[in-house]
Amino acid sequence: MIRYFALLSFVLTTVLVTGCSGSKPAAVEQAPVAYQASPQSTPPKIAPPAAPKLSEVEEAVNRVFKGAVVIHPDYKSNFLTGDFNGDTSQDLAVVLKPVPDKIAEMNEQPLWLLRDPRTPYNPRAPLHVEKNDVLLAVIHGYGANDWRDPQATQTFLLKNVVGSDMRVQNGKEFVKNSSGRKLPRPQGDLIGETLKGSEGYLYYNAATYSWYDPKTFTGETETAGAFHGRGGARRPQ
Amino acid sequence: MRKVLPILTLILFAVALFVPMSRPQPVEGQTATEAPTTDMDAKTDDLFNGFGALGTPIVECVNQPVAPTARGNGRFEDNKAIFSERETIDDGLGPTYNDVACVSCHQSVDVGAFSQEMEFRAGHISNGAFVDAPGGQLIHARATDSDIVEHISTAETVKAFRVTTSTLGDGFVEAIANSTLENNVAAQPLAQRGVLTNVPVTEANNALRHGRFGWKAQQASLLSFAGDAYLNEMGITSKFDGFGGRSSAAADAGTHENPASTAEGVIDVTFPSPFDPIQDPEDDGGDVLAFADFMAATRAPGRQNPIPAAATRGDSLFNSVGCNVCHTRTFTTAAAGTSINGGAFTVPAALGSKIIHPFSDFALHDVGTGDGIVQNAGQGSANQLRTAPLWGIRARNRLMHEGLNVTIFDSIQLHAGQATTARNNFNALTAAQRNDLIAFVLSL
Repeated sequence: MIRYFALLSFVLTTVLVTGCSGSKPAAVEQAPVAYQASPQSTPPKIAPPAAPKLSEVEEAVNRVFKGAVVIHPDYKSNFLTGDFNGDTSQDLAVVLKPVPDKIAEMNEQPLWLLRDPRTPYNPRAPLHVEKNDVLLAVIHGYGANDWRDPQATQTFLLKNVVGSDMRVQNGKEFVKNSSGRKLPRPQGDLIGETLKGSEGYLYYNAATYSWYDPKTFTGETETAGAFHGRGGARRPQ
Repeated sequence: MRKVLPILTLILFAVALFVPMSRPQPVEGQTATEAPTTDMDAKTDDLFNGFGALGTPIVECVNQPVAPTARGNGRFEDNKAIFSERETIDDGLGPTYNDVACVSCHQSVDVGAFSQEMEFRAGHISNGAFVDAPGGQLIHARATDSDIVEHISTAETVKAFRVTTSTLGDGFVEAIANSTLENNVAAQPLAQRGVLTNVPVTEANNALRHGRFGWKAQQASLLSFAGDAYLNEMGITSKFDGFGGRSSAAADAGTHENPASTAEGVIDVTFPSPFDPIQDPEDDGGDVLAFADFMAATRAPGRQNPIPAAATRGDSLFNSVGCNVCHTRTFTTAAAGTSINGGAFTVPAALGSKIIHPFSDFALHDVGTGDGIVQNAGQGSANQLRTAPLWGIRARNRLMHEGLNVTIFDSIQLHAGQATTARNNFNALTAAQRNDLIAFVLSL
């Protein structure tokens, strides 16, 4: 009887152990796959961008504003191209005036970002397009077709920044030629101009356009405390 | 012998029965269930998700919180109290730091969530590559001595502010398997496809795992994330810390603070400098375990309740516009018992096989708002940012990584690069539809 009991127990134990050992081991997370190359959101350029034609500029303006503005006829050089946001895709800056009977529509829910680079952004006092505004639209380019691409619609509509002698200033050259001066941080090319008697520049940074006047610039608000020069490293005594 | 044999056999039988049952086993095809959510109301005591023990609330002067000694063996209320504790110089605070407690940056609307606090990083471009500012890219806002308050020179042309993120529900995010993230990204159209980072897990001898925490997806485990923050935000060293603000999990972790970048040069401020009276490591790791387990034990942010009619209408528009390509609606966490974080953590039952709705793919993308900063994902990541998880977004009003946008509408308009198509699709909606979609986002 005892032998029978021992044998039965042995068989039972063996069956249990065998059965349990067949259950799955604790799962282990797979190691991550090798680092993936980043897809190019802005394909590299093959040829230098072609000079803009008025018809192309009008098409880009209509793509964004759908007839609510016209290219301002009072300005001789009323459009410029450059890579203002530094994404390697050419952007279009164009001087506009609103169509009077479309102003209410423009202010309703605009599909562009209305900003005044010379006035601190105040969400409590939203900006509006006014009848006599002279506006500068910067239409950001997309991909290899730049601002001509049908997808190129991200637009900053800037108030109070259209002056005279507007020109494109290469961003890298601007920084190189201004060494030793307190500078803003342009992400791309700048638009130089004379505005209300002062020489200055429009530049893109921190997701908006700002105004840089070399005579009055004291640093971007975010960099309070920046200083010129740097001494040698100091070790505590 | 006659008596011993049956007893021995019975013991063997019992052991054979018990041993396999005592080990957690992931269950193939285990039914996934919705993760518990918080109502995002600080007046409601509903943060605990069931990971570990709950404990009882800590009342100052009555009972002191006790830190865990290993992940999961502490109590939620103790961990929450440690997460909320204000650090002092005696605790190792500083010499340079950003704030005095985890809760300072992760507080609204409840402990662990958002705040308006900003982190500042800086560097410059050399030979086309991003280089940290001398002394490290992280420029602290505060110091324990005016001599070492950090300043940068004008040579540091790349500067970025980043608003703090919410940590609610991060235990579920930690429990998403690498392969789940990979499959999700692989299903994205090529033009919108995100890049998953591979970052070191400090507590697993720097084993690599896909990053998922932080604006650059620079951390993969909550323990690494917490150790990094303790050093880089509060200046408190531990064996789990990273170094240099890069979240790099350096071999010399726990031995020194980041040097201070000052107008007089880079200053070594670590013990035994006159600026730091506390020997390193300043924390034995207990606080960091408490932080990690607090975050791991929080519920996921829940939807607005009741959901407004406009938000219900906007729900399907979110997908039809294409927002969901990167702002992934749903993930299922790995099964309980799965070994993750390079083997350093096993997914507990409370976090395993849970369905969550983070509205992020936890991958890096270039949507035209990149900050130029490189942490631990290579130079290609300079202008990429992790897709911001939208769960709980209704509880914050400073948006995008710099916190400079105050409306969802403007934030959408700022999406470019890989998000251009989605933005244009949004703009092609009627005004009423756009408002519905915004209402949906603000119901998350």
